[in-house]
Formats: sequence, C-alpha cells, structure tokens
Amino acid sequence: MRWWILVLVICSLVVLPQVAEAASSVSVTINATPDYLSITNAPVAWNIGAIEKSTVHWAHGNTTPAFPLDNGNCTFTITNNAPVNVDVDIKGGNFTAGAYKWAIAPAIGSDTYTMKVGINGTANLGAMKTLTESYQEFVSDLGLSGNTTKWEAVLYAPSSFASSATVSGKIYLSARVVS
Amino acid sequence: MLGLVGIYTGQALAGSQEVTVTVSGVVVQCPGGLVLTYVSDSQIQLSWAKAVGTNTSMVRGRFGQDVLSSSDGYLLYQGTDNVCMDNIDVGSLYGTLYYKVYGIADDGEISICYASGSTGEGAMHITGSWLFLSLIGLCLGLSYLSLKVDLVLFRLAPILGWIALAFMFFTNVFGTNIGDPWTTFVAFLFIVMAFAIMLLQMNSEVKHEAKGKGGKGYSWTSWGQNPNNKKTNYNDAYYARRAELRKRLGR
Repeated sequence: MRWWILVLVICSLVVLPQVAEAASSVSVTINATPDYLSITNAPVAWNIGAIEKSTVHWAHGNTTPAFPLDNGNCTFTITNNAPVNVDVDIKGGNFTAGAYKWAIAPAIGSDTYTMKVGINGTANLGAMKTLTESYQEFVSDLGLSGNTTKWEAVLYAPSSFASSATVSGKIYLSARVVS
Repeated sequence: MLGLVGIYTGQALAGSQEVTVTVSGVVVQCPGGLVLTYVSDSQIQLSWAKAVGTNTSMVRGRFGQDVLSSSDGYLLYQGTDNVCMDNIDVGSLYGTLYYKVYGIADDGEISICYASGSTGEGAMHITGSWLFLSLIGLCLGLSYLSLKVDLVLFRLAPILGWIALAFMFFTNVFGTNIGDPWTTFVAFLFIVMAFAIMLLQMNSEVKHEAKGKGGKGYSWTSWGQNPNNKKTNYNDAYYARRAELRKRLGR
C-alpha cells in the first residue's frame, strides 16, 4: 500500500506543475485610439509688399470684404488632422529686419502695426480679434479628421516708418484639445 | 502573453502652425530727374520722376532766387502727372527761373527732399547772358567816349554803368550767385572799373597860368580833368579886352 502512495506522490510532483502552468496563461487584447494634435494651415505666407503708412491691407485681394465673412473672402484655411476636436489659439509677433522692427499693438503708431483676424462667419470688423503677442482662442471646437475653417487677416500699417526695410514676422496658430 | 498597443506611425504631428508675413513700409522718397526743356519763347516744359511713395507732385518756381521751401515761390503745378508747362515769356527773361519738385504722399505728407532745376542751366540762360554782354559792351564804349568827349554826361555815364553792373551782380540778376567767389570777384571788378574811369579823367596834369598887372604872372599845375582843347580865339579875346578897357576909360 505504501509504495502505491509513494508512486502517486511522485506522479503528482511531475505532472501537476505542468497542468498548473498551462492553466495560468491568458491572452488580453487592448484596443487604444491614440489622441494627438495635428493641424495644418495654408497658405503659410502672406507677402504684402510695399505699403504706405496708415493704410489698411486685407489678405484677400487687399479689398475690404463684406461682412459677415464667408469662405469666398477668406484667405487662410486651417485643417484639423487630429482624431479629436481641437480649439485653435492664435497670436502675432513683431516684424523685424535686423535691428529695425515693427511692434505689434492694438493701435497703430510709429513703426507699430495692428493686425486683426476673423474666421468664416465673423459678423463685423469689430468682432475680429486683435492680435497680441499672447495666445488667444481663435477657433472653437474644430471638428476632427479633416474638418476645416477659413479665416482672414487685415493689417493696419504704422503711422510712420523710420525705414523702408522689408520686415517679416509670423502669425502663430496652436491647437489644443477642446476645453 | 503581451497585449497589442497601437502606435501612430503616420506624418509628423504638428499641433501648431505659422504664417509668415512679409511687408515693407514706403518712406516718401525724393522726386528725381527734373528736366527743363525750352519749347518756345513763351513755354518751358518741366518733366521729372515721381517720388517713390507718392502719387502727387508739386512744382514750385521762383524768379531770380532759388525756391527755399515747399511753400516758397509760386505754385506752378500740383497733380498726378510728371510733366507740366510754365507759360512764361522766356524771351524777356533777364534772370534765372528756379524750380523745385516735391512729392506728396496720399496723407498729404510732403517730401523733405526735392528735384531742382533752373533756367540758368544750359542754353536757356543765353537771354540773360546776351543782356550781360551787351551791358559790358555799352560800358566799355561809354568809358572810351568819356576819355574823348569833354561833356560831363559822357564822363558820368560809364561810371554809373559800371556801378549798375556791379549792383546787378550783387543782386544775382543774371542768375549768378554772389556767394560764388568768381561772382564776387567780377562784381568788385566792375566797381574798380567805375573808380578807374574816374581816376583816368582826373589823371591830367593841368597847367594854370595867370598874368597879373604888367605881365608879371604866376602859374601852377594840378591834377584833374583835361581842359577844353578848344583854342582860344586870340582876336576875339583881344577885342574883348579892348572893348572892356574902353568902357572903363569912358571912351
């Protein structure tokens, strides 16, 4: 009788771990959709050329558009390539040419310019946003995956120029998850 | 074993974009290339290149002196063309017409700099030149006559003539600029000429003789104008003295 018990013990020690190991392995499938931010804007350049002081220049054909703004009189297009809806913020900056610069400000002045922007549907000039060097929300809840919105910009030239040098600067657009 | 994790391997993600803006300011420049063209004795044409940054030009003119500012002289033209006419009797000019062209920006700003020109440049100054040369010739002729003709008017005329020429140079009547050294030199040369004529007329040794009673006389010399060269009619003088003597003696 004892030897049968001994055989059973030995068999358990050899076989049971194998059985136990096979039963502890399972497969788990994780489905994750990545969240990322991706926008594009076109065109990426606005060459205004030579302008006289205290004049107004619209990006779209340099003519004052009818309000509310529609796609036909907007120059720029923002496309949301991300899989999530985004808000787009905007800011301006000084224009420079070496040490010479045009400062951006809410009101024009000597070598100081003003820029306003508005998206399709902006009701009037007063509703357009005046750019500063700080980001402000420009487009709200732009739909995901290829949705677009068009926008227009207008530049108010400085009241006087110290130089006729060609200056350049940037308008910055930044996407963020809808807040 | 291991679970599956999705990894985005598409285009680079860009959560921000930029628009580059390029622009330059137009600073009102100078008009240029003012050209004066003689059209006729009553017309001078002016043409110029507009100032960069302006559509409007303003032309001002002044006679005898340069246009000093954009409000000096007379307004000849203001408009968007780059050519105009000055209807002036060129033939009667005895001085220089000066012109300046200014640019005017849309906001009314007038350019600080300008294009300038004058009728004293080139052939158009010939009218004044002929007048100048004629007066020189006249003064030389009068100077010669003053030494030959014993009349006080002829002696005074060249002196006044040279002084008048000097005055014209000092007042830039001929389009000259008294600030120029050579103009100043010529002006003073005319004054010297006037004095020279005076001195020449005085540069004569005059002998004075007088005879007293008994024929004892005295004589002296001085410097002055030439005496009248007309010879004394001896007989007339003789008879005149005889008549006077008879009168005194009561005969």
